[in-house]
Amino acid sequence: MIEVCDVVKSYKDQIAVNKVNFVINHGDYVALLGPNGAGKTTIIEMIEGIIKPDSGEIKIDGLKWAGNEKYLKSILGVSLQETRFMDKLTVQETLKLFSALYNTSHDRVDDIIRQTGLGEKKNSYVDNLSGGQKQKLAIGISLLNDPKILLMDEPTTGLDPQARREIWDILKALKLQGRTMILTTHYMEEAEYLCDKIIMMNSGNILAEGNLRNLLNRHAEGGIIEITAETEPNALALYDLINSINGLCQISEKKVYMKSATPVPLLKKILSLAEKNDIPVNNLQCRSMTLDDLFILMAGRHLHE
Amino acid sequence: MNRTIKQLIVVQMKEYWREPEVLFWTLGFPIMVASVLSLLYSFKPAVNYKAAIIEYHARTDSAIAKRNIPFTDTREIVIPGKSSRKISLERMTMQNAEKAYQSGKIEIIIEIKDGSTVQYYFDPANERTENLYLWIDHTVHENNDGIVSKIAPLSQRGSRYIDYLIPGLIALGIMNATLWGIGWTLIEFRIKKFLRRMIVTPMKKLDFMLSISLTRLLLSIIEAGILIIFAHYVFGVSMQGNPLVFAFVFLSGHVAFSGMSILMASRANNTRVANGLINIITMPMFLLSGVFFNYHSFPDWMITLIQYLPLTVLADSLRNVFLFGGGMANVIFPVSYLLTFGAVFYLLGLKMYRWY
Repeated sequence: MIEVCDVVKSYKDQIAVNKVNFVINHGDYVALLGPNGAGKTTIIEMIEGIIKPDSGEIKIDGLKWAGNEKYLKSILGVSLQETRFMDKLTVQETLKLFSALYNTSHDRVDDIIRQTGLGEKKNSYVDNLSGGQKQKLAIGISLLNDPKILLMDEPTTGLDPQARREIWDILKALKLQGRTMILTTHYMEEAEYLCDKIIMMNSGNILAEGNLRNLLNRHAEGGIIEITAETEPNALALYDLINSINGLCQISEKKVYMKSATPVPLLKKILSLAEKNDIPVNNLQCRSMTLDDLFILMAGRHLHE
Repeated sequence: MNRTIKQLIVVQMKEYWREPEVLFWTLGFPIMVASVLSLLYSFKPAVNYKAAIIEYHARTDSAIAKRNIPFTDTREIVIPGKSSRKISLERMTMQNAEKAYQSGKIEIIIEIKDGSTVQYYFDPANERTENLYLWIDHTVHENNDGIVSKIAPLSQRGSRYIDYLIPGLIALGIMNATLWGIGWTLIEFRIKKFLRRMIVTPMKKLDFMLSISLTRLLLSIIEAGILIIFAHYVFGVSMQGNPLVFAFVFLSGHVAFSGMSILMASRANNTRVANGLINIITMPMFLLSGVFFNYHSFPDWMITLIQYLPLTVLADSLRNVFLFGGGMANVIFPVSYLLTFGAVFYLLGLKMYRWY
């Protein structure tokens, strides 16, 4: 179990994490979902023990980092954001190096190569691997010590869809082995596909948490109306207009979003007001809510910003 | 100039200008070095060469006095046309002069054979000493037409410039290998976030530092070994002292510069800054520590400072064992100094070290 209690972390005058609380139970796959700068990496690095919170407490298996470093490092499997390994080492040599650091057997290296599908590349230099293969290697390294808890910081950022899917399959397979995982991401599909629980973050604060269905049910009764204006000033005019009749709307570039329990009558009203005020509308959508919609409604920005 | 090139130049200049640390090391640092050096050299004569004059008998003395050779009543010769350069003369026995020559404390030996012959001992392969001989001899002949000058080349093993050079090059190799090999590697690992990845494993930080230091030690041993073998077979340079004592001095030098490398790399997170830092450490020692030429020609107050530079201590100690067969008792103090220096810097570096 991982307990994060009232954790605060600041960099100079910038608050990166602001009194964050959550609990992750054994076997849970949890996504920290949010855009860049939300505080996801800061939280995960505090859980990894790389940085210390300014205040608050983090416990893993009931233990704090101070005095338990060796044990905690042995049960955590960590994949950091943007790690580069030694370019002129092969995949196998890199795994052997980390195997020695974790003091695991050489057989484990072969298991990992099999598990991550890097068999064909085991004698290739790290320098010659694709982005997806490098990420598989990073995940492989995080598995060397057979960890109880996996901490994955944006494992698929920057990868093409196929590589991303391959990484997902590896991570999904690990779930069957009963491991706990915290994954940071700004891809809602990734969070939806891999995780049981989602913690949505923005500007160092938790906006909402729960499983996907609960989150959407709790916050998105009815549906989402998405209106695309011709220009950004038009979108702004539309936003002001809609705000006067329905306070639950948000704007992002040329699009205005709102949730409504009764979308059809509201849509009619908006269109008539837009026509009356001579605001051209390019596109209209009425659909079920996604995590991205929920995030926009809560934070006023997209997850991928 | 086409727009692409112009724009590329503009962005590179902007990037350069917006890195204050890089700006300092590339623009500020050379100005700082130039200012410091010009200040140093404005105080005292830039170069003060040292020569030994062999003690002579009273009978020769009177003959010399008659001939008016300038060495009899002076301890200093001003080099003609170069008033800022002087040659200090020191009387000593031939045996001591040879030893002083080998250790680089003097650059030439002058012996007045009788009233009409002056014999110079030096290695003609060393151009700097050859110039020195020409300057001295010019002064001698300026006052005395009948004087005969003779050169006795010091080309026996142990007295040649190459003998002086090899231990210095080994010391320089240790400094460069550690500062570039350890310091630069650590900074590169930090930039690549590789260090960050390492510290989330149960690895001990000290183990990591030791591994880096030992790897570099092995490479330095190979480098020095190749240099010694090459010098032995090509130039006939051979070690006079005990190889174990030499190895001990070598190791202490490695410890000193490893500590310095770790401290240097403890904070830098930019290779251009690393480059500047390494240069600020190595350049003064490269110039002053007597690797290529002896440092005894600097003003006395500078020599006092130079003698405490780790590269000077290392090069002098290696020379002591290599050229004069110095034993453990002769090098124990410099070795202790280097080990203490290394240990202090090592601990300080580890304490200050930023792993990510």
